[in-house]
Amino acid sequence: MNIVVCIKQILDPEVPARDFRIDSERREAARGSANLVTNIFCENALETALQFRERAGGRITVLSFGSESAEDSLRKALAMKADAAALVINDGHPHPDPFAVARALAAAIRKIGDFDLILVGRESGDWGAGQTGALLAEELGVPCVNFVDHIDSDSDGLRLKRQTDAGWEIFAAKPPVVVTITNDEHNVPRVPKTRDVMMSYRQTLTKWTLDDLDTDAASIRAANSYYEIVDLLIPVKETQCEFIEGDSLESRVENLARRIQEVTDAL
Amino acid sequence: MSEGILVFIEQRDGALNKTSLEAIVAAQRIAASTGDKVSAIVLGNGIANVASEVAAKKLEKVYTLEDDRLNEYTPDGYVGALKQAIEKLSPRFVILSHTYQVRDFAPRLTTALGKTFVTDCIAVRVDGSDVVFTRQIFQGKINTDVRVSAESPVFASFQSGSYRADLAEAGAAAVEPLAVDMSGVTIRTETEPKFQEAKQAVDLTQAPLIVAVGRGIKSQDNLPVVQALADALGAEIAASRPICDNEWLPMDRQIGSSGQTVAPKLYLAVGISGAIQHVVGMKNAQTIVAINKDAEAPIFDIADYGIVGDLFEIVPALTEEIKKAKG
Repeated sequence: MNIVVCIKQILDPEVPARDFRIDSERREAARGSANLVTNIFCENALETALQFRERAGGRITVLSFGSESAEDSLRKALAMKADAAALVINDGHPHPDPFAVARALAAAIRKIGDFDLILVGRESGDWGAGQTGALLAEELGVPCVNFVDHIDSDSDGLRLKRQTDAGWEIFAAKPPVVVTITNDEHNVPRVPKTRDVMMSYRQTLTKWTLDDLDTDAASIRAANSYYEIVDLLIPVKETQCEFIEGDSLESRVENLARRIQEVTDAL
Repeated sequence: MSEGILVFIEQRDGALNKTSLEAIVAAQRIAASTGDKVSAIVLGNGIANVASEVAAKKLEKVYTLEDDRLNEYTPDGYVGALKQAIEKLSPRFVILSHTYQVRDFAPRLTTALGKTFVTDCIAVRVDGSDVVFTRQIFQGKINTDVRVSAESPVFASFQSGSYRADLAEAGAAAVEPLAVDMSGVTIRTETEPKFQEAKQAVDLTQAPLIVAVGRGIKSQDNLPVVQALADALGAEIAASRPICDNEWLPMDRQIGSSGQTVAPKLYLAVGISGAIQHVVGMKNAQTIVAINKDAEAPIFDIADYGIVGDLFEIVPALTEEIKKAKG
């Protein structure tokens, strides 16, 4: 089974809000002290693929469409024991619209060759539009199953455990299929061994430009963000917490119970 | 010429998803400035009650789309039906609530129509002739205002709790069946559920009162302390991620970026520090109460009321106090 995991490198969203900066034109989050990291849902996707390979076999290629620095994310994926890695250098808009991203990824996937399973994170921790998976499936002309955290296979095909508003569902699907991955306690990304991190730098990493792909490179480069950013701002907190004080535990609890009662009485 | 705003109404087994009412409020806000007429559309079978519930809001029309192939939600069925409906009605905006179901089908629908989809908005305003949507990026650390100049209809989904459902203006809308041709719509068998695991007992997004527990509870053996408070209040119990990662409570009780997004009337956070991944899932609650031993815990930044102290002293005392008050 040929598996492609698409990963995105982003500014670390875990950095405290006070360390985020906005550029002077208020159109872009400036890097400040934030590191570049692999989007967490993409790492969950890779972990899900690695576990699937342990049970069912297969070959995992990690793919990214991004800047040169995304090589670090791909090297880490190799250290986690992906079989191969490919980077498509984005020399166009830094935040291309999701249609352009999907077109670039689809063209790269076709160049990699036959595929059975394409895994992507359910959304990114930076801009978080949550559309790449569905658009990629449309580009490739295959079904898309969303919010999956576990994949198994049997003689009928794939069995996908997915999250819905109503709980969990198990889907049967025949490859090829695009799957968007959500996280749960079973697909926490593994930490690569130091030796494998060192080894990953000796492995081949394929680099393509958009011109190397069978796609309309010019239109992908020209693709702007699909909306215009009017303003960026760091939200100011509006609520002031009223700390419940009192002479004793009893009086504080009584005081708090009264506040809670006011809310529940209004229901 | 496109005109009007169409709101997607989500229902399951004939029950309205209340976040759809929040989407109506967002649409009414736009309409108040642009003068657009707001209509709603609901899909499925046996949806008369949902349609009449929605028709009690200030809307031009409530369109119903009934077909055997829409008995159960499937992305193919919904995309096939809504694509035709939207082509027929030709609205300027399509407004949805950012639920799992919407996240599942809407990107495919917008791709099929070749339209732009602005996801997970928290507000909308009209600025002159521009409609400006506010989205959160970097897990809520930065807000971004965006203007879409794409061809209509523009699709926008709103985060749960962005608007208060009870602020939907009342009215009396006509319910109008809409005919679409489903004969050409293939429901791909690949995505038919073979079986469903036990559904969660409750949809936390619909719960008015939530008591949530975090790492401060220390051990699974201590959970009954918090459960007793939830029971006394008649609240649902929920948790932050570490609790569910440890399997002390099931995953469907998890609030936050990898769990549910909720906006209850009361959210009582017990022993939850308030990491951003948790906060994005509950910050739209109307009243937030936090109990934590650390006065510097970030949960107090968003709480309305706070008590600093040992939850093992405070929670049992509070439970007794609530029981007493309820008589």
